[in-house]
Amino acid sequence: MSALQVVFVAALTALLLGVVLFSAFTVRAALVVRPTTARGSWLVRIGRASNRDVQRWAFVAHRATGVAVFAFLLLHVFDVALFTLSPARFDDVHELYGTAPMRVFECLLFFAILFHTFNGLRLVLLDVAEIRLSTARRLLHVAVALTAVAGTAASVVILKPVVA
Amino acid sequence: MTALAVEIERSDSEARRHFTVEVGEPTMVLDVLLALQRTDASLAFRYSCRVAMCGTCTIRVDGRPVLACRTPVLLGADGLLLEPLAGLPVVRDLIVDTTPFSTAWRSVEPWFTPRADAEPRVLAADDPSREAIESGLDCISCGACWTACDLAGAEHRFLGPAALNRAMTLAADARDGARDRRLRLVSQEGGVTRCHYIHGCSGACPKGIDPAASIRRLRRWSIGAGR
Ligand code: FES
Repeated sequence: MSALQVVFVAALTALLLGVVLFSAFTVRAALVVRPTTARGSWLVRIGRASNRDVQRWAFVAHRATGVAVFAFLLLHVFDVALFTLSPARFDDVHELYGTAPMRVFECLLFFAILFHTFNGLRLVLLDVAEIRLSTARRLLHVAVALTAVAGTAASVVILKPVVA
Repeated sequence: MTALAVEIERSDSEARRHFTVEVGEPTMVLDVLLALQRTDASLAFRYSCRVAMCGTCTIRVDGRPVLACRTPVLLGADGLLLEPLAGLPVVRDLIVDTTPFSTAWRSVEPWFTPRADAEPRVLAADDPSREAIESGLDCISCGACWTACDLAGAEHRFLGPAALNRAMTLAADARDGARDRRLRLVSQEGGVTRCHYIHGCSGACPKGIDPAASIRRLRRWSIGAGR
C-alpha cells in the first residue's frame, strides 16, 4: 500500500467511525426519551417498533444516511481533487475503489444515498401536497422498497467483478 | 386474574419502584395505578375524567406516551414500565409540570377572535374549511405529542404540535379575525419551520389527530401569506 492509500484508508475509517458514533447517538436519543413499544434491549425495542413509529425511525435513518453521504462526499472531493496535483496520485488512490472491501462500502453508500433520496422526495411531497398519515406511511414503505430493489440491483453490478 | 410486574419511575430514589399486581381483563393502566396506590399511598399520579376527555392522566407506558385511563394492560406482557412524560419537569413520580406546554399553547393565542367586519355566522355543514378545522378539534391538550416530539420535548424553543395544531384549527376558520396575526406568530423562530417531519406527534396522539399534517398546512398558509 502506498502512503497516499494509507492516508485515504485512515481518513475513510475515521469517517466511518464518526458516522457510526453519530448514528448510535441518534438512535440512543430516540430510544431513551422517546416512544418505543417494548422493554428490553435497544435491539428488541427497535425490532418491536410498531407501524406508529416507522416515520420516527425514518427520521433517524434519514439523519444517519445524510451525515454518512455528506461525510463521504467531503472525502471524495479531496480524493478527486488529487487529479489536479498529479494524475498518477489520483490513479493510486482510486485503485482502492476496485478492491473488495471498498466495493462493499460502495454498496452500503449506495443504499444510504437511495434511502436519503427517496425519503427526501417523500418529505418534499408531504410538504407540498395534502397527504394523510396513512398515505405518508405507505409512501415510506414505497421509499424503502425502491431503496431495497435499486440498492440490490446496483450491488450486484458493483460486486460482480470481485465475486466473479 | 394474572400477576403483573410493574416498574414505576419514582422521583424519590428511595421510594419503592417494583410492584406486582393482580389484573384481570380488561384492566386499564390507570386501574393498575389506583390499585398500587392502595399498597403505597405515596405514589403520585394525576387523573380526572377517566374517559379520555381531560388529558390529565398522560404518562409513558413502556416508553410510549399514552392516556393511562384508555390504555389496556396486555395480559401476558412481561411487565409494565410506567414513567412520567419526557420533556417536561417532573413534579413528583408520574406528575409533570406542564408549564412549558401551556406557555407554548398560550403563545399562539388559542382563542377564537371574531372578525370585526363580519356578522357572526355558523359554518355550514358542507363548508370546505370544516375538514381542516375538524381534523384538529379533538385535541384534549394531554401533552402526549409534546413528549413524542424530539424537538418540543428536548428544547422548549419549539411551540410544539398541540399549539400549532390549535393555531391551524383557528386559522382555517374564515370567521377568525386574527388569522394574519396567528400566521405571523407561528412563522416566527420556534414555529412551523422547526418541525422536522419526525411524525412522533401523529404516532402518539391518543385522539387520532395528525398534528404533523396541521403543521404542514400551517406552513403552506404562512408561505402563501408571504410570511
Ligand atoms: S383521566 Fe381524563 S383523560 Fe385520562
